[in-house]
Amino acid sequence: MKTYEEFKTFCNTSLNNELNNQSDLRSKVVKKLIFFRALITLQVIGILALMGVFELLINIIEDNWFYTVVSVISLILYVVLIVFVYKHQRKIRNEFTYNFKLRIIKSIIEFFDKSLNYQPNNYIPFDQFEKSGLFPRRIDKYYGDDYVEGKLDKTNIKFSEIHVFVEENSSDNKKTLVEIFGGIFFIADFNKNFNGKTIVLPDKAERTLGKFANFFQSLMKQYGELVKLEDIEFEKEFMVYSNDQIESRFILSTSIMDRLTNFKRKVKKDIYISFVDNHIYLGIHYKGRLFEPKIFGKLVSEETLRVYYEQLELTLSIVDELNLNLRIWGKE
Amino acid sequence: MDTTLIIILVVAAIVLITIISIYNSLINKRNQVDNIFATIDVLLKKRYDLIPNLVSAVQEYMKHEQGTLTKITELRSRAMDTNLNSDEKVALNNQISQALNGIKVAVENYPELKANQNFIHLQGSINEVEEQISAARRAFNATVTDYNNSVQMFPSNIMAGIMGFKVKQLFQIDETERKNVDVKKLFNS
Repeated sequence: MKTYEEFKTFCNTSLNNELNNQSDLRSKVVKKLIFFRALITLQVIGILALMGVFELLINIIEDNWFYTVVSVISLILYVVLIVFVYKHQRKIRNEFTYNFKLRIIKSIIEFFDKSLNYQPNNYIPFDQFEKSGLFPRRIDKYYGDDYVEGKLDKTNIKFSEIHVFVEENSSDNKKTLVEIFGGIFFIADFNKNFNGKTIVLPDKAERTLGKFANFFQSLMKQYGELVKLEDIEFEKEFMVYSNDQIESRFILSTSIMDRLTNFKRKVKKDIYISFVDNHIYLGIHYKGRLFEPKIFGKLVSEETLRVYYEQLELTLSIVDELNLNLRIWGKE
Repeated sequence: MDTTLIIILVVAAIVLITIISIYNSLINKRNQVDNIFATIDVLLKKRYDLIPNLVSAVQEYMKHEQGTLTKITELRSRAMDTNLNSDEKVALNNQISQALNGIKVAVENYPELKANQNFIHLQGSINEVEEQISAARRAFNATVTDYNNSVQMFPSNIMAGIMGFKVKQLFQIDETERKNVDVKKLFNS
């Protein structure tokens, strides 16, 4: 895996030109955006003023249908214009982001490994997310971006940013979308063959409830049976469910439990893991969007670059951290 | 009806339900232990089946290890005897594990063998079975612990006493097993 020092050198040399180009581009985009925003603001003020005038006119010239029709039509035209301007500024923004990703993020990803293929607007398809079995409930909204796929040594990997929402009734009987998972969703070949389904969830209960947690955990039947493992450190971080007690231990060997615990402690985020159909699915929960350029403010500060590096390094390190390239259990 | 009678009936019903549920949970736990023990048997059998293949694949290369190969073949036929009790079976299988490890270490001296596709494939299958056996053992220990807790803890221990349920032994992981892990690392580095 590339070190942060190597990454910094890469940014200061190969990436430097492109970063400067993008920075110049950003200034232009910002000017345009400010112009459009001012336009929208003016239009909104305008429309309010106009409505006042119309109201006045209609009051003065009572029952004159001609004036009424003219005012309604011009109002509609005005609204259409605002929507158009708003959409146009969004388009400018999206185009800039897309271009930025295609030039900067793509280079960064290729810096990590040449074989990786990056598609800014693509993401892990919903059916694959669903197959992981990590969130067995009705999902109401699903989207993502920043799709990466490739092969690290013997292991096929793919990952992207995804956001998953469910509709929930809030207190005043309105339905609101609540995000149940957001962050990086990673899928890779696993180095052992298996048929069952094993789910590893962050253990929030054990941290607060201690020993009583086991009782509540065993009630979560939708994931399968609770698997009690002997690694105490692992049990502190995770809870495991499976439909096959032996197979879950075949997958979660003592070494992989140790590796997962270390990975969890390195990431310092909630991680969701499942083992289904010879694949490992791993979700790292992040707040907010990833790999997005800042349009207002400095485009790519050293801090932003460091965050890009950390998020990618963590994701790509999964293969090494879990030793997925070790193929000694009869799976090529 | 008399209030005392109702109270007595309610209490009796509660006691009865408790007894039934303790009884069922004990039976359930014992069956889980038996079930996993049976799986271990299946996995051990899978390993017995691989041994002749391994022996025939390596014997033309390993001129100096003929003794180990004869020994492992002999251990295998002894372990396949259906009249063995579980202690003997465990002991024999520990010896088989040890012999298999011996072969793994010895393979290091035969680069030609190490590169042989047939052998690599076989080695993968054996590693897989060994990992499954170790997983089954851990599962066995977990269910036995669960079962033993019920047999020893109040109030289910009373029921277990009446039913004649006894504490079961855990699978011990001995020194050779612990070394096992290092050998694997050595073999694959």
